[in-house]
Amino acid sequence: MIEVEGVSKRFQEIEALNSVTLAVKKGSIYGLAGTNGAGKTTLLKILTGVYRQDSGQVKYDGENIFENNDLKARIVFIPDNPYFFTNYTIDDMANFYRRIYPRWEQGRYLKLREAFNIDMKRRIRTLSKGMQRQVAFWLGLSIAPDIMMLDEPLDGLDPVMRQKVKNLIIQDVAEREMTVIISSHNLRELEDVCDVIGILHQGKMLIQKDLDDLRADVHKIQVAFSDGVPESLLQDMQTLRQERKGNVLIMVVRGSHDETVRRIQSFNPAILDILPLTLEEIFICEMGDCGYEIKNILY
Amino acid sequence: MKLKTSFINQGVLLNDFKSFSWVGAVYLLGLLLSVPLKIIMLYSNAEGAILSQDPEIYLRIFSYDDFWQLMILIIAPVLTALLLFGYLQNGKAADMAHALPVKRETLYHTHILAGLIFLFVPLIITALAAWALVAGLGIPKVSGQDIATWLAISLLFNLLYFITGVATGMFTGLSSVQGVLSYILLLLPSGLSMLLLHNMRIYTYGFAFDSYMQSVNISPLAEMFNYPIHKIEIAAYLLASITLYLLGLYLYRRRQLEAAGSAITFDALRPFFKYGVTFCFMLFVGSYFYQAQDSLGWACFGYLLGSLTAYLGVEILLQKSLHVFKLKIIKGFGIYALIVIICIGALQLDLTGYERRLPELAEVESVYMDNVFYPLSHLNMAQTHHTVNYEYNDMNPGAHFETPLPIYTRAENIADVYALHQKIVSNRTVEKAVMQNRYRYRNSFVTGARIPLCFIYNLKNGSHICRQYKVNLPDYARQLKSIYESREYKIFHNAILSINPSEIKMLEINAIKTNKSVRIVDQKLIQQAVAALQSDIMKQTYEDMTVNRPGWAGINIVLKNNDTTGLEWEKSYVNFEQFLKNTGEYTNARLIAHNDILYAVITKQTGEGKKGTEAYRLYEEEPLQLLLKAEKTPGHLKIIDPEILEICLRQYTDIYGDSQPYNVFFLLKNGDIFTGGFTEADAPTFVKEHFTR
Repeated sequence: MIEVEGVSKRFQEIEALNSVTLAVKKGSIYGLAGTNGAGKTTLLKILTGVYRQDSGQVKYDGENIFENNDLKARIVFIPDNPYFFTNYTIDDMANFYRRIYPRWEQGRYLKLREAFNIDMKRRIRTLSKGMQRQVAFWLGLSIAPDIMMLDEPLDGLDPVMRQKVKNLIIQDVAEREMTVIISSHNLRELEDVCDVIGILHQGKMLIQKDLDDLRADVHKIQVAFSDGVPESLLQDMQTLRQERKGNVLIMVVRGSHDETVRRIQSFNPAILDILPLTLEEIFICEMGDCGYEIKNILY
Repeated sequence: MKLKTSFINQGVLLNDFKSFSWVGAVYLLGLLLSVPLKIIMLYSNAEGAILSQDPEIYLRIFSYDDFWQLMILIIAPVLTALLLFGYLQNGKAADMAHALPVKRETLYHTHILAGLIFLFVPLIITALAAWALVAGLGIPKVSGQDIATWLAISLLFNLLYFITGVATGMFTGLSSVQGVLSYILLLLPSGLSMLLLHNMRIYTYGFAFDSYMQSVNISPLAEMFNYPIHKIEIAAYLLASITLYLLGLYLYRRRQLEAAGSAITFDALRPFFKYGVTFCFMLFVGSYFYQAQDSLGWACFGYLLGSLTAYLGVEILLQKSLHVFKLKIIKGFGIYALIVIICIGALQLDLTGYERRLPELAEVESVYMDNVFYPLSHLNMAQTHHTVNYEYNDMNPGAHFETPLPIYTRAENIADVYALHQKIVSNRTVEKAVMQNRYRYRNSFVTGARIPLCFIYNLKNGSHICRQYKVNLPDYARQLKSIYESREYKIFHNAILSINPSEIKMLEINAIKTNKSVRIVDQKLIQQAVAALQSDIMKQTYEDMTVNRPGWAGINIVLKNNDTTGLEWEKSYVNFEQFLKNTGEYTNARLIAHNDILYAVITKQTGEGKKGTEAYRLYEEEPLQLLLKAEKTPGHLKIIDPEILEICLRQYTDIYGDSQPYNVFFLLKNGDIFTGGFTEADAPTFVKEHFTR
């Protein structure tokens, strides 16, 4: 649904994005991970048509986003620090959005009040930062968007509200096939909601993986042999990382689960354990992998 | 609720109303206080008969004569632009506004529409209220058309100021810079020309500064004061508004939103901004120092100070950092400074030949020469071109005191003016040095000898050459003599030569230093008096005109239409003297030694003490004290004989002090004392003899 190809963006001397390419499927949740300053916010602003890229293309089912009203009416962008007009109450803001967004659903807005439970007559700027963020979700969801872009959305929400918002988003994804892009500097936060993860580093897309594939493909294995690790064990195996402690070998391996297990068992290990692997571990390994590959070419 | 047309967005418009209607309300309040309330205030004053009222006073309200009204009219439009487009200068607000499904074009048009409503509606309401008041109170002199004109001009200027503010907002990313730059842009057309002219005249000898200044009143901000305004100006301002509107739209479409917060939002405009501000500030500070210190050296110091401060200031603003002392930045300033030095050098060396340029004498059709260009200010250049024949026969004596413009058309006079100008040009090297270091020559100004001279040559091909100088007249006595003694010069400078004597109601002759006075009302006598004065003026020589001898009396001429003018009965006017003697009023029209003067005391300057101090004593000490001191001076000359007193009266100059070799005190019978002096040339022989003994 969303096709981004070779998007670059410079801010005077600073290169914010360097030829970023990504694809998001309809009804999926895309997690955009990266350190602070990696270019996540810039990418999201380009994806929502706020910024214009210097080069490259952003297509939604073949259409450009920039200055495209019909498309933008279906997209909601919730920045990390949402803006509200001075002195506006939630109702005022809702009235404004209702006039601007043709898809606004008043019933939904009223219904969502129960979930958020904030007085609609409150001036938004007098609310706490976390509450302002909730208001942004509330108003954003009331537009019934096809696509939702969330910049560090869960930051500053308390755990209860965090779960509530996640649930609301997942619900919309399930019911209405809403497409979501979430950015975060915390990979663990993305782990349980996202289908696909992209990692942005210094303006470049390092890696982009489907989580299910990733989980099925990468395994952390602990093996022990009574008389030393056989030399030929690691041959023909894609080890991303290994650690040896005497006769015990802990390794992260890429490959299908069954085949890997079968291969190791053929060496008759004393112990063979498949350990749980966090998303973070996978990515650290994956990126190490990239790094080594580049090193190999260099040497 | 989406509007089909994308020209404006209703939601955004309503939102502007909700957020910024207060601007319109405050504007309306301000206007109501400064227009209808003012009418009521003036009206209630008239009711109480506090002032005898000039009905024109109401009209002034609609002529932009009121400071507060002007301030409101100038501030409101730019402020409205700042508020409505403030979202562009705030990153968060800009992101929010542009994530909405509304195109930039639509946002632009919608906010402009909102702004025009905020500005125009209060103006229209104010005009209606004023009209209702004027009609209701029955105020004379103010017509509906006056109010309509006021409204139309206010709308026009509000439109222009507002659009300027909007367009400026598109290429700046800071509201403060937007506000300041808007007004600078509005002032720029005349501001920059004035700065350039002010600086050009430092380097160019003969630069016709005052003439050029008259043609640079082209700023919309300054022009609002110059009511009424011409049709061509209206057209120009409308055109400017449309251009700025299109420019704003073009820039908005191309603006990068992330530029919010930086002074200039387009990379390509940054050098223009940087060097433009540097240049303007350099000229400004330079001409300030030149004006204050009268010296080229100080002007150059001002250039360095102004340009360096502005350059670094702009760099700090653009980089948003104080770390601007980098090689690249300093190199930029170095190149700029080099170009400026080359330009100043080119001006100083007069590479264009401006200082040397004189038209071919044969090409000159007429020439304007006067101390100022001012009489021409209400004419355009083309009108100075017509030839007027000031021959005696063609003279058409008028019923008003109007001297013709000093445009010389007679070939011999043109040649004389040309010769004078040639002489001035040939002295340019010395004169330019004096001009650029005036502080060294300040003493020569004390006597007031250096006076301005302005020339405009009207050439046969229709073009003009203007020059302006400040010269020490005695240096050019030989050239000036033939001009001053010419018929044309005398007609240009003596209103009495152009008046029809039958239009005169009365001549009043007020003798100086006494309260004696003579009135002539008899038509025949008036005719004779005027004829005598006219022939005296025609016979006057250059020396008579330039000598510092005070006249006998002031002559006040009152016309039948109550116009008045004055001239002096100078000591060289022998025909007029004879006329007065014939009428028997001679002794009543002037100071008579025998009747009015007790005695005179003459002292010689010793040349001791600081130069120039004696003249200032007149301001500090009572004349009586000075006289008593003079009488105690050993070797002073006391004169009692009326015949010798008469000689003294005829010869003395009105300059007292140590610039004159002899000082004279006259003690009148009524107790008054007046002072004067004799130059070595003017001093009567008995004075010289007395002091050489």
